Amino acid sequence: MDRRSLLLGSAGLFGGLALSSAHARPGGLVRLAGSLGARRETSPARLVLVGLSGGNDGLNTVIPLENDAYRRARPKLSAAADDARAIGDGFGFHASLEGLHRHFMEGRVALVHGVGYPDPNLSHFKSTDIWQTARASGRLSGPGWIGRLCQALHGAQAHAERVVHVGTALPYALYSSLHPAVAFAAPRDYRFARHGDDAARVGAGGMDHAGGEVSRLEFLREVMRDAHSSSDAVRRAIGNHATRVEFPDSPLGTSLAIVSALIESDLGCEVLSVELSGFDTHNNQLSRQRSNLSELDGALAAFLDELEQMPGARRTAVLVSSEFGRRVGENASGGTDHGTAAPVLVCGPAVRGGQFGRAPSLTKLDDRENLIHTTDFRRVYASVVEDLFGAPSEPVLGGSYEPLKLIAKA
Amino acid sequence: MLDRPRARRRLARRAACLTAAAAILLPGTGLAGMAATQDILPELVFDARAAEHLLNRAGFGASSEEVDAAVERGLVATVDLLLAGPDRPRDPFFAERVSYRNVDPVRRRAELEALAGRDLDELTDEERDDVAREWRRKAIRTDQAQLIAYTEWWLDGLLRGEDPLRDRLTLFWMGYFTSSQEDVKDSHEMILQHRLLRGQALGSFGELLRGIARDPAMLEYLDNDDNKAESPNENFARELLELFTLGEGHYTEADVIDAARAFTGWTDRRGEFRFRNSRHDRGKKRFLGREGKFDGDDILEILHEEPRTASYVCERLIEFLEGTEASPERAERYAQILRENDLELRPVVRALLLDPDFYRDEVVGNRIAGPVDLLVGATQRVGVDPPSRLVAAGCRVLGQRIFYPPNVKGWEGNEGWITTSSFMQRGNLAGVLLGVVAVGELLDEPADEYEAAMGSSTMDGDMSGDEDGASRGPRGARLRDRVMDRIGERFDNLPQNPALRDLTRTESIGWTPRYYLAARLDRVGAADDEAVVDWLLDELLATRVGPATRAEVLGLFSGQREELSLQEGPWVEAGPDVEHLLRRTAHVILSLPEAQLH
Repeated sequence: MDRRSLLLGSAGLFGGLALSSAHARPGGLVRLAGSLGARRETSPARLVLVGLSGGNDGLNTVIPLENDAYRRARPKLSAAADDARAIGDGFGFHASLEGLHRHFMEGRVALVHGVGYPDPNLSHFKSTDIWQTARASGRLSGPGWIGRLCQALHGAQAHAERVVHVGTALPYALYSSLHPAVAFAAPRDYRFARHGDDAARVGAGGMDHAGGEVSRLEFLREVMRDAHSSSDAVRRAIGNHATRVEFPDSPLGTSLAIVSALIESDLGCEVLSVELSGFDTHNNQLSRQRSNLSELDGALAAFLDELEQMPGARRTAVLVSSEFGRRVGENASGGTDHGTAAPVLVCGPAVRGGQFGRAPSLTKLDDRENLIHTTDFRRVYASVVEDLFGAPSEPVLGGSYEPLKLIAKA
Repeated sequence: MLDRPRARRRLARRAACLTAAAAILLPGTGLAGMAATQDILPELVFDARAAEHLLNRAGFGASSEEVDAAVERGLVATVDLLLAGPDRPRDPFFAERVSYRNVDPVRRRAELEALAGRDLDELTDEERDDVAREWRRKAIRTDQAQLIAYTEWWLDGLLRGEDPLRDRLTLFWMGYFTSSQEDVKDSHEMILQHRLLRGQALGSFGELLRGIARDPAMLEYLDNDDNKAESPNENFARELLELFTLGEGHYTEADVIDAARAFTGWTDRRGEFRFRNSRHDRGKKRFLGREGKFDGDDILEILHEEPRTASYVCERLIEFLEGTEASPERAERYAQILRENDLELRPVVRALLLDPDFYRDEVVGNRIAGPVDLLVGATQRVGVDPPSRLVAAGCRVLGQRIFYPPNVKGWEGNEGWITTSSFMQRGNLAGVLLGVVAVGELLDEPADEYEAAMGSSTMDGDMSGDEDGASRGPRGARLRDRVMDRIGERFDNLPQNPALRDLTRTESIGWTPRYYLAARLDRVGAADDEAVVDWLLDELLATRVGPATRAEVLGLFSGQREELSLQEGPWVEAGPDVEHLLRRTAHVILSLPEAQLH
């Protein structure tokens, strides 16, 4: 390497150095090799979280087709029942959920009715917090429930790419100082522009904590090591990957194509997450929800098709949920206000399809005219924790919840 | 209704005025200050470490010259200087009501007609709709532009260190009494709210509370404009108790419901507070154990008198400034000061900044710098002068879009700022401030680097040479025969990260940092590698690094210097290579985990 490129083209020297040091650096390769060596014949358990933020209206997603109270409460919005896709027991999927309907009929979608929690909170923030920590006190209680799941599965043994969020803001469910998540919106932006590799080398510091509480500096060092080791690996795994099915061009479609690549990469991803927002339909709900659910359906159906064909995805489940459902009665603006219970979908190769639980009554409501939940969301989590990951759910959920039988036997 | 507390508060206010008067007569010796000076000060050695800590937390960082000057001046004088603020403040920002939500109807009509080029009455309904849509689009752009201009105006002050303590506390209140332009959609209202927070940042908590309850942006943000006797909306009342005054667990659901009833009819019209009598619930309410036909002001008075309010404010304030939760005893000690001063904030802030506990090891250099702290701090320490638009865009990339907090609880702070992605972008933005990374590189990786990172396979389709080729091997080959969709090729279709796009747009400003590390090193006489590295670490970081990291940085610098066949100092004479090497080293230092702390 000549002096000139050494000095000027940081791309020259530092790009070059970056690359060669990444190859020479033990951490990255050992990690990679380790996960390769650990490749099992059986598929590892994996969870994909699809968050619908804003509060998706459950009653117009899984529609009670033969319920008069539904039509009475929603003179305008019940139009969605007219072209719904029947799934049996008097319910129908919203017309936009064409692909999900197919997957449901083929037995890959578990529909859990009336999911919520006691003393429902109607604020987006707090209800999201409760769902994401599995605790009534929200983030004051500590890490997110996925962080606790990692602790239950791996103790303090962190692995950079174990938990990945594809999107800009990290959902609190994935927050953990012991098991920090990797997060990026677009893989191309997920990198140090120059000199980061030098920083990662000189800044790694000593491991000065022996168990116990992680100091802020140690936390930062851990994140830096993860960033350094995952940047190239993640981008390479994604950039070179070809999916089997065509994903729609929507942002969610691309995000789920990226998730497919990560699952197939053997980087050791166990929990992956994406989000779709815009479900806060206080007005003009018919058309807004139709377009939101179409984006969800196109991307999710393609992803489920992809998972079906992926040999390593036999034990993958996808959890689709929102922070709350919406009010039973429609409002004056053709929308619905914040509500409580709503159906949750768990789908994918690892799932036992069908309808679970009991839909809440549309006439016996709580004192704020909201649905009374019939299944605690932590029972859905408990089946994921126990029957998919084989871990005890009590430490993860902070209480004892009976798992639903949503997950097929391994 | 509530005569007793009102009278009591008037008395208390008068007492506060007397205290303030005493402080004016004897600068720097307010009552709290005297207590602090006598009881607390002797334990604290106000050295460079302590001075830098003070300037980091009571402001946004400082150059080493400013740190030295503070040590020279002494703790009490420095704190009082910070409290005093600038002798001659800048002109306030000239803001207009331009939001489509609240614009003056006469102005709206004139603008519509200008757009249509005709009198509105001459238009068909369809044409009128088209013009209205176009006008609204333009109005939204104008409104956003005004808020961006205001954001830059405010950041300009931070970058110049105009009134650091006030702005540090303004940032605190922005995360305390949050509102977001996302919901408010009126830059004028957001600016008025910010003016209230900044104006009272060191003033009276009571004034802040009364101001925020009538603040149009807040009424909008927490839906109190929707709070009517026949259908109360609890949003504002709930946050008032949970996040503004008492904290969770110090009130009941019934308190929330009746507080909401007391605030019915408090709304805004065309961007100004308005009480609508017809919407107000005049019935009897029970609130925190009292009973009466309370209105909103009565609720605020009760909360003002409630001892828990001062405790909650002090817990939040201490945690914000120290970066770690205060012990109950410590919070209570400060709550006492706040109550004694009728919720005047200045004595509390003064006592805290003079408190040796504020300088304890657990606190110093152990707070994760937020994006504003990080970027403004870096400019002060490096001594560069970027346009505030660049700083605002950088903050947004790092998760702190000013005037758009993520939710009513404000920004999470500390570990909440850090993901692998934001960690790398922090290093990248430090590189931008140092002029070693071009803004555009953050969004678009140079093609050759991208190809290199992707491995040879992207170019020739051969995966066998790939280091993880084994994992895809034959399956990968089979896959490629029926490639539906190669994700790498989709990246161009991905919606661009709007924060990075914002940042890239600042490229057109054409700013380059002006600083000369080699010249500074020669000036301070740092002649050998060790002196250089120690000076860089000391100058660029808000915290101290351990011996292991120092040794690594030293090894990197010496190694690269020798590789370039450069002699140790003096440095300017040795030519431009040295300056490039120093800047690269500076970038490495500002990308360290230690650089994220202050």
